[in-house]
Amino acid sequence: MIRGFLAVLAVLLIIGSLMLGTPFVGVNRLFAGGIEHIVVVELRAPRLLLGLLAGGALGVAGLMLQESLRNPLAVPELLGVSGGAAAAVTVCVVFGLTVPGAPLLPAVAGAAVGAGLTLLAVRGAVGPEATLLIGAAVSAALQAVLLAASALADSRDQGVLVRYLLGSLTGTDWADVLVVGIALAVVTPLAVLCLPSLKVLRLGDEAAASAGLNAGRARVVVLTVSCLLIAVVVGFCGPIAWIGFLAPQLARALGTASAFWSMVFGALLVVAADLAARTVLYPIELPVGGLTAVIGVAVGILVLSRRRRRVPA
Amino acid sequence: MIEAEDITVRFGSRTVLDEVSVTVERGEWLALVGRNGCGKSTLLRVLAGLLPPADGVVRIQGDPLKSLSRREIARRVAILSQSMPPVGAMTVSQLVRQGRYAVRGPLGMLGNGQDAAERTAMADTAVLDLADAQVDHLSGGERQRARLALALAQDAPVLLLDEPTTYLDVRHQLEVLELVRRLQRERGLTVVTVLHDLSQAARYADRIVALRDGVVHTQGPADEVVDAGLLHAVFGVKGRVWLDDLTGKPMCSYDAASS
Repeated sequence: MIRGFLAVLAVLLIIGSLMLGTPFVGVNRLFAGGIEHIVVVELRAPRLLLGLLAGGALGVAGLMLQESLRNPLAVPELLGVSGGAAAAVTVCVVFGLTVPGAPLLPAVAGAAVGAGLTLLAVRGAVGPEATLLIGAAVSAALQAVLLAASALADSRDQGVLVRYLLGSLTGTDWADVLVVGIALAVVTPLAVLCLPSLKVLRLGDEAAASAGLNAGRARVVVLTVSCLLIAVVVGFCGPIAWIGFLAPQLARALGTASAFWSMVFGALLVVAADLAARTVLYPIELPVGGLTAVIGVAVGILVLSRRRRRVPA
Repeated sequence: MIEAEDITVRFGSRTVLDEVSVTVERGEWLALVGRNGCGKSTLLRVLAGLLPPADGVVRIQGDPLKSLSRREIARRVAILSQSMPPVGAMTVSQLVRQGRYAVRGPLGMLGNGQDAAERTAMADTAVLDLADAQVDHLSGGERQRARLALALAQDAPVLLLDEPTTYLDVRHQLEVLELVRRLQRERGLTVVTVLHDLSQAARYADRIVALRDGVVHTQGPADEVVDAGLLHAVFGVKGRVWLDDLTGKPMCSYDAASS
């Protein structure tokens, strides 16, 4: 029932993303020739695909972080990962650094620095809570770097800065889709290999060890792989906020904490939010990350308050 | 099967275990008894490789635990610890499945199939009917049996149980202990249990190791070591010990805390 509903929703969102906007392209003309065809194939289709890829990757990465740290608030935004990637790309843009492989390589490097700082600070600290606190501090520091860089920025760079501050799919072309697609094709098998250890980690560190899993080492592997997923997305779309939080939450509401459903929800959320970002205040285009952040925070408060009601403190 | 030699464990400045040596033969059932805080759970965790001792060495099947990877240890030793945190959205059959990680490895765990060891473990612990129930919604007794199924699914030759009868009513206590005895006899399992109930320990275990203040106070077969003197020296209670007509094993009753 719910799955059928989701399938219908997915089809509607995909067709809607191709049709809506200026010019409006009717269903019957999606594959017709002319200028409309160019808009659909060259502008909307790559943007839709990148949204699906980014959302799916963020959904899976969010699930990996939340499950491995056993905390529903373990989101990329709170671990220094998104912040690191975004700050690195912003610095490159503002100071006009020409880096090979930009923006992918700077994003990966930035995410690695952000996550590395977090992990390094976490070494010796005990428990998932410490990881989150330290991650939040690292994120704040990296956010400060990003803001400082943007203060020095040229007005020409404003679009880029909005992207890396808030996340945006504006101006996506097929080259972006190709690079993100290839990068994700490389990282995804690693993510799949991490999935079994996520379930074992749920039992708690000691029971995981009894079952044959070195919890500390497994957590580092899972964090590394999810950082790669996040870096790929942030490098091209900026930190589309809170998808890594929302998608696993929705999957759990379905009664499953599976990576598959997390991926599906992540992809649908980003496409839906991007569609709304393009159309709600037309002709003004909102950054998609701004919308997802608002939705994410609202759902986050809902989840926390429901949890409190269920388990009286 | 298990040789623990001169095990010393310190938590801060407190010495919890002081040069404790214990040997468990293949197919033997050993019960660790003693007061709260005497170090019996700590010793069990050391035997499972969950807690590296400050000093001393543990060998399983002749190999020092230190030389084995986590997965290799888990293929030889399964432990049921005292408690488990809430696991979130997870059914009983998914929980039991995690016991197969050591044998199947990450690649082997990707599929969804249930193997014979999982089914046997669930049947033995009578949780087949609960297969699709959420672990966090189970009653204390059901949860304990599900966790035992998780440990049994590891199919390891050594089974360590830390107070396996906690949370269980009398009937389920008996069922669990009878099950462990059956597995010990049929599959030659080596068993080490921490048990609070001295009568139960005497009835089921082949040998008893009584710990006091982090050292081995007494060890030997139940009918040789369980007596009023042990109750007084190890547990600090005045009590009586007699032989049960049915089992021929010592039974204890406790009358008062001894001064």
